[in-house]
Amino acid sequence: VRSDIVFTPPLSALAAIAGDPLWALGIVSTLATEFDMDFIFIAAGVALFAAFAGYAALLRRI
Amino acid sequence: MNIQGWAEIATTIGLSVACGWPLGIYMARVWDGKVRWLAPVEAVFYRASGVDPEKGQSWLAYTISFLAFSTAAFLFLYAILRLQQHLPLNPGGFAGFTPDLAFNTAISFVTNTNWQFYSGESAASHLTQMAGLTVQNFASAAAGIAVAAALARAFVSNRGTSLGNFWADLVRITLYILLPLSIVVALVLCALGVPQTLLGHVDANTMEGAKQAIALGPIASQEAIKQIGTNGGGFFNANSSHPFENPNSITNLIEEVIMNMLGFACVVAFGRLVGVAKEARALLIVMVIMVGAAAAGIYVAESQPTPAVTAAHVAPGPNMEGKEVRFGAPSTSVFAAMTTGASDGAVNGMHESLTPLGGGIAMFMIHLGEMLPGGVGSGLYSIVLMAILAVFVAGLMVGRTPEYLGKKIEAKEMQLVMLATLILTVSVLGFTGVAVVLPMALKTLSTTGAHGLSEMLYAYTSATGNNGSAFAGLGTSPYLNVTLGIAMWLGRFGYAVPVLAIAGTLVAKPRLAPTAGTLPTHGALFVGLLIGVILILAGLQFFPALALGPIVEHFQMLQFVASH
Repeated sequence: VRSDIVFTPPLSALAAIAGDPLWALGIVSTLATEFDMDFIFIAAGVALFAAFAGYAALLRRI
Repeated sequence: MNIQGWAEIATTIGLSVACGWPLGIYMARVWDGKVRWLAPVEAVFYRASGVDPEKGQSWLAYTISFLAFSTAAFLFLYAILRLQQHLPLNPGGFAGFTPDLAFNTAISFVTNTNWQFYSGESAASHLTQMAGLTVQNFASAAAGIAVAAALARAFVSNRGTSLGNFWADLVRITLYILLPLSIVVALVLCALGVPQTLLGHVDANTMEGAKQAIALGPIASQEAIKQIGTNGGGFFNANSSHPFENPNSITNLIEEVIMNMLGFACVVAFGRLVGVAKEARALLIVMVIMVGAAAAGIYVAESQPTPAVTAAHVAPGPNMEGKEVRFGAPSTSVFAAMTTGASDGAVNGMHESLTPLGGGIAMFMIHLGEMLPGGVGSGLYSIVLMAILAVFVAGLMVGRTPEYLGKKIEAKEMQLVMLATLILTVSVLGFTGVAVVLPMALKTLSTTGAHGLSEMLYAYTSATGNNGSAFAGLGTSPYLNVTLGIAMWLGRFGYAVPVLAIAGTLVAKPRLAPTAGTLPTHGALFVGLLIGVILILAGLQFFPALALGPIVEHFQMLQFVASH
């Protein structure tokens, strides 16, 4: 492995993030066009975790 | 087989225990709140989140905190995966994950499973790898260790109510254990040739004159926590068999050792904190015996030439299909045993290419409950549950009320132990049973017959056990993404929630001094009893399925030889 490809200084990462201001626009666009499927999977994910919170409450009765 | 192979297996397991021991002593001090050299940094987190680290939580509050944190982590990671094409640090220009794949991957990393239905180098941006996946490697590992710490405090307590504070545990375990270890290991891996860069790829000229793009990225930092936190999800699809994740035999040894190190350390920490060093040593011995036996079994199976090769009159040698020639049969065998015993899931060879018995042993290691030494934290609380079951069985045999580490084990604890144990069986066998009759699931298999069943059984076993290694051969589909996601979730929280409920009952009980009627839980008798309970429980649950998969396949292989 060449030494120049092994390590990139952290400042380069910050510069890359700061240099791309259009990313927020893309997020809004994706949310607007594909929200239906995302809604299902986000709701399913949250419901799965909420179900276990309910399960924990039920275990108190044992 | 040769002496070098056996020495490698013994050295690897021995080094894991040797590194885990002092780390466990240090970890006990972290669990006890005695390590505070980064107190100002801790304070920043507490102030920002409004947490009082000194305020103890009941088991239910601790559980809700654990679940709330995991829910937030799921949502955060899901968003990154879906939106990565719009986010920075995406030199490859990768599109966002599909919704079902993002669902699967988010649950996978939040539950410390790291099942990967994608190729990291051709699907995940640097931001996804660093801010999404690697962050969850820390967070899920810390959450698992926090649950183990809470269980340990339940044994320490004498008629108490508090299991500690989940948020304080999370911060301290990350700051004092996972981060320092990961920084050191990442630097060592970097020095040994593992890349750590934000470049997307370099172009190479092949011998034929073609251009080949060789993927690069922040690999060393992810590799370190991948193994330390028993996560297992690699930067590359080929995982630790890829030369950039695992360039040489030294990095291979390091990755094997650190994969089990924290699992053993948790047991030592438990012994120190509860003041039961001898009993913890017995648990450690059980782990070492069983992971050693599995490594030996896989090594014996993989060192033989396959019957088909012998029948073809090819020069005999070990089964090298799917193995890196840099590592050979012994390294692959011990890696396979340790990664399936540790709930890690990283691989340095393809498990589907193991012989039927070799692959069957790897799968059975996950069936045993991921406690040998198991995932960080989860391995400890899983084997403590088995120890509770063992003293209960012993109590039935001699007609006494069972006790473990000074706490009486009564009907309530046993009901919770069985709830935790049975959830794994229900998930593994239930989902596999449905998948092998559903056309939409069957069409994802690369083969049929016994090996096809093994592929499907391994997938749901790995997901439910929060292991994450794949038998390979299984194609991705929305059905598998969703059901494997649910299996991972059941395996993590279906087990951890009853564990915390048990901690909640134990914390309120008085701590009793041992009497003449107390079963000793530190001697050879208890070690044998515990091994027997673990083997019998898993055997009763999973042997019929294994008999139809790898065991049948083994006899089919022998029949092939006989017919040629």
